Amino acid sequence: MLLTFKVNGVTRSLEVSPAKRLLDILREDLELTGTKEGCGEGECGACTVILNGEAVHSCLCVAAQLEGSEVVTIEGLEENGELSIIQNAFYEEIAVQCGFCTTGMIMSTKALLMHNPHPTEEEIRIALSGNICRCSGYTQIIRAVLRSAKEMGEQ
Amino acid sequence: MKLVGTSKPLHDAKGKVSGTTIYAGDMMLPHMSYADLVTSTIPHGMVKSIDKSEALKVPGVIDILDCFNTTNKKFSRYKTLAWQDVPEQDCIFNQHVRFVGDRVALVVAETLEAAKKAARLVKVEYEEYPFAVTSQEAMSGKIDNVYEEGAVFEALHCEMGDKSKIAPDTVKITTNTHLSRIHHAAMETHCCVANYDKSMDQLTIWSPNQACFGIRAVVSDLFEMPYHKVRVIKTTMGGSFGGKQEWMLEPVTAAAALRVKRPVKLVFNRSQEFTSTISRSPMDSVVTTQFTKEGQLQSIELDNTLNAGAYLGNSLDYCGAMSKKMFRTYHYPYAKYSSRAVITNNPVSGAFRGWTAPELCIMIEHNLNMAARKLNIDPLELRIKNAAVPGSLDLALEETLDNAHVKECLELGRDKFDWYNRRKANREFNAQNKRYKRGTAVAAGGHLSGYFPRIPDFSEVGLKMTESGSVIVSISLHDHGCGTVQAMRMIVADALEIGEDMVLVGEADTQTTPFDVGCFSSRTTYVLGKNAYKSAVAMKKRMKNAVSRILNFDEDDIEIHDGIVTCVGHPNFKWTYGDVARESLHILKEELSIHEQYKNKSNPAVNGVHFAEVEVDTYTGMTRILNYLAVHDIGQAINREICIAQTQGAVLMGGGAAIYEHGFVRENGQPLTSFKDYHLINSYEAPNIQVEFIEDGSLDGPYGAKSIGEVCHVEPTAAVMGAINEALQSDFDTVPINPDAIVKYLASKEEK
Amino acid sequence: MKNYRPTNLQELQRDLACLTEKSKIISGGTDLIIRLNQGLEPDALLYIGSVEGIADVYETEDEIYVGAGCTHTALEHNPLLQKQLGAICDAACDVGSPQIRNHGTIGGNIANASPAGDMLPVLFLLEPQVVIATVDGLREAPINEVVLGPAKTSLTHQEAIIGFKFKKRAPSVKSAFVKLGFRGKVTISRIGMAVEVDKENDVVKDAKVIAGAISLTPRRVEEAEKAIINTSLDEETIAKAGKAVSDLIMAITPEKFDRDYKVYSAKGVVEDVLLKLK
Repeated sequence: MLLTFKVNGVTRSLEVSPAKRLLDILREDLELTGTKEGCGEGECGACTVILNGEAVHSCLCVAAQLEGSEVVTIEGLEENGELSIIQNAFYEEIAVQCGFCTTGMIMSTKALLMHNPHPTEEEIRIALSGNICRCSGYTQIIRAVLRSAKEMGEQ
Repeated sequence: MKLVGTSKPLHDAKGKVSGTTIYAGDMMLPHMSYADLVTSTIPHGMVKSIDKSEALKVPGVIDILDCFNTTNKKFSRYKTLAWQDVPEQDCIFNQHVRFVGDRVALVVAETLEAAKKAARLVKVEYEEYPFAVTSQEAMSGKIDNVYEEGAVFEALHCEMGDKSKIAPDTVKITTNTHLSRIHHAAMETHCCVANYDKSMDQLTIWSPNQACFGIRAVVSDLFEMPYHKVRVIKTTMGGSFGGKQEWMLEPVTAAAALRVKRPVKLVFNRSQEFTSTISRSPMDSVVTTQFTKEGQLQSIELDNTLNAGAYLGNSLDYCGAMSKKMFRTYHYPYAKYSSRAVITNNPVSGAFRGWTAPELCIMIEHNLNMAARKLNIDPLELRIKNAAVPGSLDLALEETLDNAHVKECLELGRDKFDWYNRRKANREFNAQNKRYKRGTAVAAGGHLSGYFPRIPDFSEVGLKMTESGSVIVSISLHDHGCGTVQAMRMIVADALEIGEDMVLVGEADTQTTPFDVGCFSSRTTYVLGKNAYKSAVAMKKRMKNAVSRILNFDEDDIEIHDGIVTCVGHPNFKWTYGDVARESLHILKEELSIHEQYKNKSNPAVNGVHFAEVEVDTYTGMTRILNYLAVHDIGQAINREICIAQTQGAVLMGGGAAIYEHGFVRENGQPLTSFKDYHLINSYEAPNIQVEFIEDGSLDGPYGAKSIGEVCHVEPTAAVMGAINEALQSDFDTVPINPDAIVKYLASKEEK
Repeated sequence: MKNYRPTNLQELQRDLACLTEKSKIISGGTDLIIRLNQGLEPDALLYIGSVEGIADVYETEDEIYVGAGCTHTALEHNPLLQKQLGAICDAACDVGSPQIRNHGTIGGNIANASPAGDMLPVLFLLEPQVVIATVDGLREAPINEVVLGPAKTSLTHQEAIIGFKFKKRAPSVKSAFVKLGFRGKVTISRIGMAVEVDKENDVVKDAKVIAGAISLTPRRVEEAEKAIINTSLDEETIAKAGKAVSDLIMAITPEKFDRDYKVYSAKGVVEDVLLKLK
């Protein structure tokens, strides 16, 4: 099928199978490898992107569903070549170790703050419950989210 | 110390938050092909035939390697040193398949989609043999045909210390502990890219791994190529926890590259990750301790049966390693150890973070908790009584534990966690609460900071200075994503008194970095870090020497501080490091370059004491960790917040093993393949974890550092297990203590 | 592989007529796509999410209509549902992960008909009419004539669920759902309790109790209903209701589906759901 949709603000038209996963379209057709595959079944969150304003597992979206959609990936977060507030917060709060969960975690964070600009710690824990970090205990990640909320609020 | 002890983002953190950091699975090389694995669908049997006709029809398929058209030379997935004498049972593809997930064939295609489609069309005909899922089944003789030697491999039997020193009139406590299989569950699955350049007769392998030189040895020997023709490059690693120190993909991908003479990428999906890599072996142990009535530990006798899975891999050494860790925490005169590795038709057992130290801690700490009940002594006090003290001798390694601080960790934790009051509050809560029960427990453990004395523990570092005054460090690091590269940067930067942005540290590449035995036994900071420090010190000396020769100054008068070089008696002389480097090239015709070698000769105690408070829902069997404290004798934290984060991650990993994580194999031999069945503690259930460090230096670590990455995983399972047993006044001896186990116990209690 | 993306009912009916038994209808896809990735190769995918009104929620005089394409997140936050059909919101807020809730739909959950599907016991409780698009029109059927068993519905390969019609409830009626999983959040359901009560002055006048994930389809627990009617959900009543569910599980759940665990732990999830309605 011919799929026409927006990725990070840019309209793309691709000839793909209707069953091709958004994750594979991003990584293979568009060479946006920032989004990772951790499990392929919506259990780990490493593949999280924002689809039409909501955080979704890109391993559980296929081309047949995407016509006319808007997708934002980690590559679309930079502002004028600078790290976005959330990316910078993860960086500064030492919330990045092996990094494999990081992009998905940041996208879930972005989606959370889009809907809930001042989340409590519990709301953050629920919002990130679909993103596994095997390296940390989520402490630094939660700090990064709180910091992002604060700085975005000040903006 | 300007940087050491502070908290800094990892060297590649910016790339990781941007999504630009390249992992092996992201690599795109010209003419790259994609591979997918065909694995055994039966737990034990012989491949009779492989019908590839349908698979070969899939457009884009380039070749299919299998057990009939690929070398059947044996190798060891566990071997990391060319001189290592280990059982070699692995084959690239096995005709005799020994578990569901065993490698049978590999499809190589132009696209991953084609490779996957073709792999599903490969038809394998098996002759099925009887199979054994548990150690007990295997020991009954059911699968003696699995290897020539049968299924049971006796491993280390030894005695340590002095039996005659055991006090008379002791109390004996015997416990049986059973550990289930657990999975590393790193977010990045195993992956490998290999390329064979026919014109150069050069094989290159990229993978996230813990020992590039180990892969080189195994692959070179396997394909009978001289070592310089096999180049192994470590890629950014998305977590390992021990899983990426054994070679399941590299030999296979190398075989494919050699066959198709193009780059080949093999990325395991999560299902293959669960079945066809390695996981921590299930273990059945009997521990018998002897105490005086006052609670002084006299001896530990431990018998361990390890479920090796389908191939021996590291299991014989794994058995042996446990005995070597029996004197890292407690001080007592005698220990006896016996063990065996049993082959079963299960996924292969292998290395896991802590390398038997966590397993040992679970076994010993459970016994100590039961002993505390029998002796009617507070469990914390029992541990303080028996803690190793500074100067204690490790009777297994016969080396000093030097500044062992396990007692201080116990005491600090006792105060910070308010041990007595908290346990009192738990008892009061439990008396008034029907449904929920709370308990608090402690677990003490120890590990190592290096290979010494059992395995050659040495390092070489190259350090060169550029005309900018910046340095490039050539060192074979294998960063798991836990920040060892950043730690080296901080150490070198502080030792040279420059900013960390002036220090470039690479990772292991067999072609360009010096030989290293690999990232094992938490040796990276203690040994490589020490050597990096020494190199920086040597560089300063080199710089002084260069300046003295260029300007005819007395070497002893030259001073180097904070990026500036001055000389006593020459107040107008002021050079930057860059000036020295440039003038050395220009005038002396010498690059400022040093090579430093270091042989580690110590392994002081490195200990942790963990405190866990849990709440058990006695209606549903669900356990929540309410509060947690980890106290670690770390010597010196290099990158502080990373050390804290690593500890907290290990608590979730060990805690998960205590209450949820169970890498089961079904009765029909089918292992679990999904996170839907393998539950981790997620952000919703993660407790707040306090971490305290005792920083009192070490014998030989850089800036006094010891280690943290593995020792923080030694205690958590034991601590949570103990807390559950406190809450329910039970004696669970099998982990995970999941809701089903708790309910089964409570139901049987109700019946009585 | 063919691809259909109808944007209204007429186009849907036209496209349904093109489907074969090897075709698949996809809504959120959070169950189906896993199977696609594991090698399932339908001859066509029909994406239902673009059909006008597929994700509408609205009320008429005596009904509440919930479009099959509503995501779980949309259901969770819908004020009309929170007021009238609370059990839907309770279930929706705990389906899988947040990412799955943002994309998975109630229609997909029902059509997938997994015995552990979170929406199943809720719908068996609230008894909607299921609105089904066929090749030549619409048909309606009660939920228990649509979901027949594990992965088994009465739908033909040329039919698609497009919505659910719930009778409006009196203000004295409240419903709730609690699931017991393998861990606190992001888990398959082991027992899903859906309960609706009609209360007058704190006393339960009428009750319906449905247990999910204990059998092939959700099951009514009449003995639990009897236990809680004419009570104010005190501790003893709750324990009795819990025992009723345990007894049912003992009677009908095969041992290998964790029967013994569920028999014992039922009292926990029953207590949790009844305390919500107290």
